[in-house]
Amino acid sequence: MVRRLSGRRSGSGQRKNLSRVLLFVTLTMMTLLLTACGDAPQSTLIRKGAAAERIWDVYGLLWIGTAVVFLLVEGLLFYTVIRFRRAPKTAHGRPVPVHGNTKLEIVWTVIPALVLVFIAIPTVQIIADLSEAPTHQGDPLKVDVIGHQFFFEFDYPELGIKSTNTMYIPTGTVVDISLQSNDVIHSFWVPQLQGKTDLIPGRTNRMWLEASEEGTYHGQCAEFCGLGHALMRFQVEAQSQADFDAWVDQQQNPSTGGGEEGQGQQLASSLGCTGCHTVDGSAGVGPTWQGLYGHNVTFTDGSSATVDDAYITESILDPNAKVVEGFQPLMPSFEGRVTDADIQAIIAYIKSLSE
Amino acid sequence: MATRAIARPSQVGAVKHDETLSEPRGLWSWITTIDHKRIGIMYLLLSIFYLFVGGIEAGLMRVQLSHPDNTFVSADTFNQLFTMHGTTMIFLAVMPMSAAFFNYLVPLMIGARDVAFPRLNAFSWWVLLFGSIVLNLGWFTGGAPNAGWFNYANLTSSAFSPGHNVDWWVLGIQILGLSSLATSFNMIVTIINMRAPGMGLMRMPPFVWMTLITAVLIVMAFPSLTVGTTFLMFDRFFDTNFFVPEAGGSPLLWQHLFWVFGHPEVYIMILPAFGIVSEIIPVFSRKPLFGYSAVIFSGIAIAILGFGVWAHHMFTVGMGPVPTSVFALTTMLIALPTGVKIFNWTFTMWGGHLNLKSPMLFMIGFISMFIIGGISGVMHASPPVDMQQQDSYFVVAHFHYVLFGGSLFGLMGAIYYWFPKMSGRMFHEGLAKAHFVFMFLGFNFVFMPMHWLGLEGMPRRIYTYSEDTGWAGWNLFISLGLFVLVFSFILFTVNMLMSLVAGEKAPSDPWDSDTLEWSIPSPPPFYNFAHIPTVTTRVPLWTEKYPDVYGTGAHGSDSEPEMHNIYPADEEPDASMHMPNPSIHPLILAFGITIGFLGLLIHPGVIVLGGAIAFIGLFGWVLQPAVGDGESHDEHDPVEPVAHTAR
Repeated sequence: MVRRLSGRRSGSGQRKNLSRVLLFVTLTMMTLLLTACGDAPQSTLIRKGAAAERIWDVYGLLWIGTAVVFLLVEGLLFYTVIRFRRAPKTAHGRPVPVHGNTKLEIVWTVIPALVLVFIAIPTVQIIADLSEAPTHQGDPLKVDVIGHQFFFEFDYPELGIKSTNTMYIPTGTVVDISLQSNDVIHSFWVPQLQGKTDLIPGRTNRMWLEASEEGTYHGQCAEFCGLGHALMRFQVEAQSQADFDAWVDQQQNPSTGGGEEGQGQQLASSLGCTGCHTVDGSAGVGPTWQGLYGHNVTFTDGSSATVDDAYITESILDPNAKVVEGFQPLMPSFEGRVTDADIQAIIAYIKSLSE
Repeated sequence: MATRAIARPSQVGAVKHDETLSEPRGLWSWITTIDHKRIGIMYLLLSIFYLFVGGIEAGLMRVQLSHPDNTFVSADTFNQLFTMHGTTMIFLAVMPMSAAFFNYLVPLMIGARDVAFPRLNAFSWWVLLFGSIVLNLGWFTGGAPNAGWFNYANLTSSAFSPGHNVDWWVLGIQILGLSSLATSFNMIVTIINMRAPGMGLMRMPPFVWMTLITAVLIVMAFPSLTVGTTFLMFDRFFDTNFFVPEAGGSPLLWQHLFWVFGHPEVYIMILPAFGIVSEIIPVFSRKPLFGYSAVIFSGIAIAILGFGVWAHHMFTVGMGPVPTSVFALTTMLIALPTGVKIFNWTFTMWGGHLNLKSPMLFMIGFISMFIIGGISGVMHASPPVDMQQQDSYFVVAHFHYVLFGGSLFGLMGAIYYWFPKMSGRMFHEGLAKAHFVFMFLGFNFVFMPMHWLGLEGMPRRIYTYSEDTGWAGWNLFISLGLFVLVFSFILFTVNMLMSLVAGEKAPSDPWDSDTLEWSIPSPPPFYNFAHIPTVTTRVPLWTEKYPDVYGTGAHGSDSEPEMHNIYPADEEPDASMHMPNPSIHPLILAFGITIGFLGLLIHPGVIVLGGAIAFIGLFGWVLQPAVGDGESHDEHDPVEPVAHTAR
């Protein structure tokens, strides 16, 4: 009645090699993990502020805890596989049929539960700490972050100024941020300074951050928000208090020489144009305006044209009629939102950037 | 109709299956089939097809991401690719592949001749087929769904997604939900009512237990998705404002409705694999499952806790510190029953005599990879950490370790383990082992570095990135690693096709297994069991083969009679087996429902047409006798044993 498969022992060498390969791969991957802390500008492992440090209090703890658990559990698994791949048979030809062990079940429920308690306590403490901007370092700087498809607008309600895609902050000062969205859900994330918080239409969320060192910190929208999501990047420019004050002063008293050109610059900022079109030649969601006027551009359909008043007007009112090669058809139409005079002012400003 | 003689000699001494019976053949017999085994095979083939479709979508994304500022596909195409990759893999690959094994195995494992509602079972498959077509129609009509598999409101509102892309998703998912619900009700009733004599609930094979739990989860979780998609459908088609903030709607309402479904969905995808592991590891360790009750009850605990953790997908939406803390703690709690399972599987192997055949390798691969996915899951159970990891590639790595390293490794092992039973052929063991090795390596090449990318701040769902991010190196590595993974699936396909044509004939019990499906020929006759078996232990076939080790006496239960034979030797085959009639009506009903849904996009008249077709199907279904009558008996239902030779 008892039927046996023959040849169970064949290929034992192959099995041995296999388990060695598995072990090798696992160890290699572990080593890679430990050496992976690069210097990427959006790395979550680099902490440059109080909020990021506070997160690291549990983040770092979890790295150690999970590494230990990983080694123990995987180690037990592979030890079991290697040890019992050729166990001596019992008299009846079958291993002893152990059906379970209640003590063991209790042990491997209680010990992980204790480990979790050690993670849960700091977790809850840090959730509380991150939920309110600390006030012990003096009055926080208030910034309203407003999400747009596909750029971030930064309003400083107490200073009466705003900027697009670059948030200027002084170092060592807590920044108390309120988050709103103008269209769909976005998420504000500057990994080296703080974890992400969503910007949700119809709601106001809050978060805070602080930069301990001067520098440019890179951030990116972390919630899928449509076609231009990948391009929705921004910076936090942390400056000394003096430099920051100088920037504020300059923004409050713009030195631009009035006229149509200056009016165009104001419009470009308030309409959000500069969220996507840079004015310094750097890359953006849309083509940069520096040197654009009078320049010959090629479109996605292969045709080309010189950028003149007519083309800019068309691009404002029917932006996706002609899309410059290398860019996506993302721009909303401004039909009905701008007057002819506004368009003329913007054209004058763009023209000035090619002089 | 042609018939086929299926007499096969029995492999297990005490089991008699010598009847020469016949089952219908030909394409029509497959279209009208209500046989759970054929439906299971149809599920399996469809899920493998969509696994490859989802794989191709992933491959195109990896080409795009292999270099910074790449322009291989446009932003819109990329968005369609990741939306459809996720939707396809979840709803059309992993879930149907699990359903394939539910269908094929549950009646066999519990000693039944079919599921409780065979025509409903056929209906489930046809709805799945039509729903999957609707979901993919967008590719051919100007744009597939492009708002992500979780379709966050209000990006999905008409104002921000004016095309039909999201409509295909809404309609497709509603149709697919019908299929999942029908299958689940069927499985619950089958498992509760149709177990063989002696198979108490705590003697059920663990896979059947996990099927039952999964089915209950589907029944409880899918209504939330249905409510969400119905609201979304109303917003898009009839200008309601459930999710439109300007009109007082709430985008967050969608997230709650979606994740109340979406988190249990994770367990819907992993619990079947837990069941598979709990079947295969004991067989290849030659030891019964360690801590059977602990494995079952931890599965139940996971299912219950799974409904209390949904908001951990929403730690960054600003819920406030109290709800955030509560959901963090419930999420951490769910690690406990999961850990219990891992330790029980490991201790099943401990002291065993391991037979490292390919199905077992996939199980060991499953456990080792699932541990990684589980551990990274504990990391972002902590909300401060989640604020850094959520929506980054770290999370992409995490859930691929759970759903690919977990579910798919389990399901691939299941395909190998049950292939001889389903096809009657053995596969090539060397190729299967090579498949495992390359899949294991390729999987880790592709998904392990995604952890690093996430830690370096790379968000999900970006179609491009610039050089200055520092992500280029690992992205190229991942894209190259995909070739190893693709190669492993080529080995799989070659092995399966070769074995189907020229594989060695499979014996009834090639692995020395413990469950009832291995007591009947491979492939099983269409009526499954000539006698309904009697079960006295959790390991009926081992009790049969090794009465000294697994006899009922060994459990110390004196009240049970000492009986080792699941098929008592002196019993005649059942004189009349009530096998259900083939039916075309499930297909007609499924087709009508699908046409009705499509009417929303085409014309109200089409809705009426679809309703009429569905009514015809339903009407025919109701009037058709469920069990073969005298007339059809000769043609379709020749179940009377023609010959019976005692052995």
